[in-house]
Amino acid sequence: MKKRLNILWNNENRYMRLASVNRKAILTYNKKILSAMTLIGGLLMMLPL
Amino acid sequence: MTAPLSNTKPDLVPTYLLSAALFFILLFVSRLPLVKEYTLYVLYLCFSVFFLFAIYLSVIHSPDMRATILLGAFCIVPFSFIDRPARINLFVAFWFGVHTVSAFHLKPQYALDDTINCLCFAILGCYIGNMTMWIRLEGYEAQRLLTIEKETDVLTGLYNRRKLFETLANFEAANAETPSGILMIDIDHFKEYNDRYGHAAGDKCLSRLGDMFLKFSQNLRLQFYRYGGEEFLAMAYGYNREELLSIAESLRIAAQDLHQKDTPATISIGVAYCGDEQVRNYENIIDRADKAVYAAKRLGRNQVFIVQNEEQTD
Repeated sequence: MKKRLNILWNNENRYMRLASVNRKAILTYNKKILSAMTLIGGLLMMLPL
Repeated sequence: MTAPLSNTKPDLVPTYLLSAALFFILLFVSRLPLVKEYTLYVLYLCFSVFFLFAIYLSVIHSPDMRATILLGAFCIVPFSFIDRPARINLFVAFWFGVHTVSAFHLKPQYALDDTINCLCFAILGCYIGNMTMWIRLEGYEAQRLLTIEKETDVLTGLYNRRKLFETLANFEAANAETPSGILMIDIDHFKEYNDRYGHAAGDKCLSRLGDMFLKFSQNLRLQFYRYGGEEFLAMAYGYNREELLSIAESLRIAAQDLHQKDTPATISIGVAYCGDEQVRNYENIIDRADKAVYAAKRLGRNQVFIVQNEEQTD
């Protein structure tokens, strides 16, 4: 159990380390996804009408 | 209003319209410059609308059918964006919990089936989503390290000449901040230094100077580049002529104090101030700084020489 918690903790730390130095790339990716998802979502909801 | 596709659709029209409106509102909101910092939260909102819609279809609109769209949501959401894995898993678990509780209340005959199906899809979605996210993150990290390697001089840790010319090209962009002055720095008698103390000592001298410049760039608005063998260039942002001179003088003194007495090395600095001019080509300013450093050398080295337009001042 302790080992698994350690793995989770290490993963979280690894994510924080990678995310802090690649913040701009992550933000750009999330922004693109947000635009695409909201547009696709809105259009798909309109489709059955 | 009639819906031509299915007999079950007409009573869903308000839900479809509401969901579509919410998505379009979120699309509009996501494009506002103010929301830039909150992209992640808007994404969570967008996926919450998707989950709410899927849960509505499953437990309110079609309680006599097993959930289908919801399964898609559990699969798609976890690998659509990048965030802390624990937060994404918690988000999926939350909506799984909401659906499970409402299914046991509103569609007890299919609740167990739905719970098992949704659990399988949520676990699968989170597992694949986490893996995809690590692959993306490692890709970004590799790209970042490659960029650093491409732009950095190995010996000094400063930006290299390639990065300098990239920076110069970027000055043409409308909103780019441009330097108020350029400092050209040259190590005095470096060839003799190498001949006398050896190339290893020469490399060590360059490396120590690089460390010193990096410390300066942390405290001042200076960006250092290794321009050539023993030549460095610094771009200074937001300083007036007197401040530039004072910074250059501090650099010269720091370099003089840096080296041990048995391996002394000094630097000459040429300063080109351009704070109050409209500069079209910064390579001309670099030429000007280059001429200034030669003037400093002619005057006996270990000094600072400044030029402004054609007027020259020591």
